[in-house]
Amino acid sequence: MKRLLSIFFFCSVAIDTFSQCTIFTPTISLGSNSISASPSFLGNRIGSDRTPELTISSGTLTISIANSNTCSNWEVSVVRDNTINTDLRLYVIRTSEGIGAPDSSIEQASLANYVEITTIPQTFMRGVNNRSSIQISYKITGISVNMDASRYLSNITFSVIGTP
Amino acid sequence: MKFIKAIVFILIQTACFGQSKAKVSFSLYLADVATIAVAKSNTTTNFVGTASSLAGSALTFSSNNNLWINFTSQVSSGITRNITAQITSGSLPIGTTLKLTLISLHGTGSGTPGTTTTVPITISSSPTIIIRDIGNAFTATGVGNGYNLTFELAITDYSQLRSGNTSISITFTIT
Repeated sequence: MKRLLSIFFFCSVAIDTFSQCTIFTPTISLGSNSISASPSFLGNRIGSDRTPELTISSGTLTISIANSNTCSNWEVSVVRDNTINTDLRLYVIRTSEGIGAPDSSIEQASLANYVEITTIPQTFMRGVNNRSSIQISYKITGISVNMDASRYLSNITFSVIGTP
Repeated sequence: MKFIKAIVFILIQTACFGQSKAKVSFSLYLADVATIAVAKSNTTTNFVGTASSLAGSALTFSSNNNLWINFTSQVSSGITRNITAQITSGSLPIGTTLKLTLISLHGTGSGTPGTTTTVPITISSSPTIIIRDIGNAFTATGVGNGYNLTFELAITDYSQLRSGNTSISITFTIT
């Protein structure tokens, strides 16, 4: 308890001393905590391979950043665990600006390109202030009949950190 | 003193600008698949016995290699499939036998398409394995892809042969 109080005290002093901002720790939340996909086939199922690439888009696939403020930058990174088949590659892309106050913003770069989700954290997007309902889409590549029939699972973690 | 201030600032910054995480579980389901088809728009094959003009020569039937087997197979780890052929309706004319020869995989498919034998296989009313140990594979679709089938009707006993028309159906099954 004493430790928590002292951290709070130091934070308050630091913010007052080194900037004009109030204390913040941005938080991240997802519209959906699970994604499931079942790929189809190229043309007729008989003699065909599975569709090698699958895009997952849904109105519930969103990211929201809260507890931020106008002079607080944040950065979202994404990482997965190593349980999934190595032939499969996962990607994520931001597809909307989300909703936020006029003085909030998101760096444009993440709209243009898919970010591959690997076991090493990758920067996904940066912004300022609170933004909600930022639409995202996932893409999976490497799907084939030549993989064993199975359910392939992976845990994806989005992290947000405040940056000075 | 400045050095200490800097360290304190970094420590405070770390404590203040914390990290928040959100997890999502991803699931891709690839179900078992076993589909098969015989490729050719008209899969009726006719065998007409013709006799040479030379008296005393044997009756012959032309062979047919217009048909192809296309399939897709996706199996769980350690599982394999076979393809069988059997006569499921009608009977061969008495005194004849139907032989099937497969020519191994052609076309643009990939995977583990199984193995077959180059020896002609006798097709009867009982299921006979014609391709075995198929794993995860697809043959591509249509004529020219998959296994080519060559049917030959052979006479085994002239004494029982009678003139007439006979129809049979052959069913291919992937299991």
